Amino acid sequence: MRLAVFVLAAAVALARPTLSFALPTPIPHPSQTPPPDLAQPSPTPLPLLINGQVIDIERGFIVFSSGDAFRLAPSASFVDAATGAVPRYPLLPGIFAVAALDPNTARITQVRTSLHPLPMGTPAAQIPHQYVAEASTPQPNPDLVPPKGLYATRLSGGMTQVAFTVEVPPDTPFTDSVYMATDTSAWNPQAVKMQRIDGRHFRIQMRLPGGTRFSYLFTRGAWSNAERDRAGLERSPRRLLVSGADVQIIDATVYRWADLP
Amino acid sequence: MRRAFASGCRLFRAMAHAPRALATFVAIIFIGVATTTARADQEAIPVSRSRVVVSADSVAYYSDQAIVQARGAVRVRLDDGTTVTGDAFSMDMGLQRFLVVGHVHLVTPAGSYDGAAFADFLPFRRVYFVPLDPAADRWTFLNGDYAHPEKGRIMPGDAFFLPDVSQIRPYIRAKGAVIDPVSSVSFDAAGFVLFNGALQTPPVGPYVYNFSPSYDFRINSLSGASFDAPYDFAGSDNALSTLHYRYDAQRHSYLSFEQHLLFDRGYTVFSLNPATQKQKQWNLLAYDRASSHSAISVQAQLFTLQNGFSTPTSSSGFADLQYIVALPHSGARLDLTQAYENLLGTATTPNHPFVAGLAWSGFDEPIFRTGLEYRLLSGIARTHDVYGVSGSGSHDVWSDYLGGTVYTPVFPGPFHTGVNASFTVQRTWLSFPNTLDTQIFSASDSKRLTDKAYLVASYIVTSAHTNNLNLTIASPNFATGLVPQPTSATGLPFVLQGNAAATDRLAQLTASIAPSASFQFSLTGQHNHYTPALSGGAFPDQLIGDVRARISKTLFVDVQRAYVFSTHAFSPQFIVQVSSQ
Repeated sequence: MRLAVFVLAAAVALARPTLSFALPTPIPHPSQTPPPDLAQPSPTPLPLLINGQVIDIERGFIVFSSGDAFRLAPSASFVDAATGAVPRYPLLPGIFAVAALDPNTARITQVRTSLHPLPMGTPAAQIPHQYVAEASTPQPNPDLVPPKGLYATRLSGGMTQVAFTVEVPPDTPFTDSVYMATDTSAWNPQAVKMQRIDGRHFRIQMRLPGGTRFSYLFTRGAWSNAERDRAGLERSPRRLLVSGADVQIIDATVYRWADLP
Repeated sequence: MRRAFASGCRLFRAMAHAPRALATFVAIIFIGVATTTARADQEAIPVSRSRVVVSADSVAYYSDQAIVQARGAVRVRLDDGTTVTGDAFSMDMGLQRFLVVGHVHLVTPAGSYDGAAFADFLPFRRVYFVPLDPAADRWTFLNGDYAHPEKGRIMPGDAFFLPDVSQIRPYIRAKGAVIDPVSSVSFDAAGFVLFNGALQTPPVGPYVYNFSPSYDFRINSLSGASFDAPYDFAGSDNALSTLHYRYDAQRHSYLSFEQHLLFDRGYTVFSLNPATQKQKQWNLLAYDRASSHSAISVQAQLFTLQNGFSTPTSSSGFADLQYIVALPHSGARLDLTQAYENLLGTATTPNHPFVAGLAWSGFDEPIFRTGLEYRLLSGIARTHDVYGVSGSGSHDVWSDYLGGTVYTPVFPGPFHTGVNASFTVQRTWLSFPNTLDTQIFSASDSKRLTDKAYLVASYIVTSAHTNNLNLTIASPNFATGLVPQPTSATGLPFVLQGNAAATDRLAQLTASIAPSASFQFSLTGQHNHYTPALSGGAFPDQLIGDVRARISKTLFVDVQRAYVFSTHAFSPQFIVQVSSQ
């Protein structure tokens, strides 16, 4: 009986080529290939290339500056990305690397290193967690969620043209210059010289990155003739947060100088 | 009102006869300052001010990026007893974050851990740690609790990023540093990398790099020198000790010392200048923000002649104490000044003079809806001198003054110019008797040539008149109304230049170009006309050029030179100044 089933199955298998002509011709469809950034892992995945700054290699792990640790294969090799040879520099924390990870074993098989950032691979922080060596299940971090409505403007980090105009008291000597002292210049009383534009006003324009924050005060070149408040008391520093806008205009008034009545 | 004025006068008469009381008062103020400082030291240190003590084979400070990096056998100790060792250390002073990476061994009061990286975000009290033993993981320690790590908590993407400093040179190299994240870094034996690496000094001793946001550390009590190189050799978040190498044409090379002490409401600055020469000047500046609407200010100077720190052969000085208070729409200043002729205690010469006074200054107020504004000034003071005030026979002289300024805003003028003017008048009554009148008129016309170029023409007339040239006072006391005006060419009232009446007419034309903050140029032509003519010391016609240009990321050079038409030569003063931005 078993022999009969085997013979029948063999006969069907041998007969398949002759049956295939009966199948309908497939209808062509538009390509369903997704764009590269939406690509699904291939059934036989290629090695993942992990890019980042390496901060530690020990105990069979390579750790990137994002805090992601990956297991090293026992035969993992280290080569210089430019020459392909063994690096001539020590592998100290801070070197840059592209590590090839075998998805089947979740281990790093080769590390190409450089003293400068490398332009290939996927940043370590974006590698799926299944390949990262971590004992605990990832938990959300509420510190990283920006509170809504905190910022009225977007701090882009782009350059902003900031124009400072200051009106000085009428007794300001015409022969004197006016300066801005800032905390970023260690409060040098002559850090930023301003341009006189008329009998009462001085002005300066600076290009500053959005998000820059600093404190400043106006002086006539020394702390003995720095600005005072209207009553003649020392005033607290003025503060500036550079917005992400293209242009920011700051108008200020000095009511009194320390050395004048 | 009149009664209040009379009682005020009685108060000042009483004070005028009490120089010892002034000295006692000053002493009380100093003691109060010292007490406040001591109390501030005992306050709890917030987490953001925790010190980070780091030692390593190499510790470097990159001033351009405000980064401290250490390499090789790194050991970090925190104020709570936690120690971290590893291969590399980096601290970003702007972010107030430090990290230790590579073969990290963490020892905390709650236990020891081995891992790959440790990052402490000080202002947020968050410590991120990557343990590798027994398995790789992500731990977050919250609020200094090392016993209960939050395991698996996602970390910031750059939690352990080590800034790349391979393309920049450090400013300081050392073996160890104590970092106060909000004010300073103290290096043990610091070596300096200067002139873009062309000069590297051997370790020269302890050095403090102060980057405190408080400008109180920058208050300068040293009088001018042609060259000044400060070296901060000790400090903390509220103190800074500085040695200055200085040079000037009169005293040549010498060393000076300056000490800053900060407390909650103000500062004290002490200096000895020069410290290495026989003729010494001891300075003290103090400012106490007593409340939101009042402050106490002290300025004292002591002049001694002594070899080293031996007993001085002469000693004199002065002290000025001010109490400044904000009033409705005005401010007032109580000003007491005592000069000390001889402080050796060996002579019977009494100290003189003593000036006590009260100055009042109004806010700028509009004159109806005309666009004009005015400001009023007044003051009353009494000068006491046992030898006679200003060499006169009067031992006590009252001085009262009343003044005011009227000024315009900048009006649109012809040819798209901006025009403005101001007029200041002041009369001082002296009980010699004598009077002193001063007037200052200024007008300017400005023209915007381009967005970066301006032309400003100004005309200033300053005049002064007194009935008796020999019966005047020049005093640093604000309340006398006789403070030497900086607008004067010599820094003194004109009447003290040998004339009972004098007038200076200054015409000035300035062209300035400032394409950016990195380059500025101005050319000023000015004509002074003194009546009567001055015997010397002032140039009637000058052309003054000033160029300020960036020479590095943080340094500027400012060059100023004047051409004097009367002598057909450049002025002897050639100003070259390098400053940081």
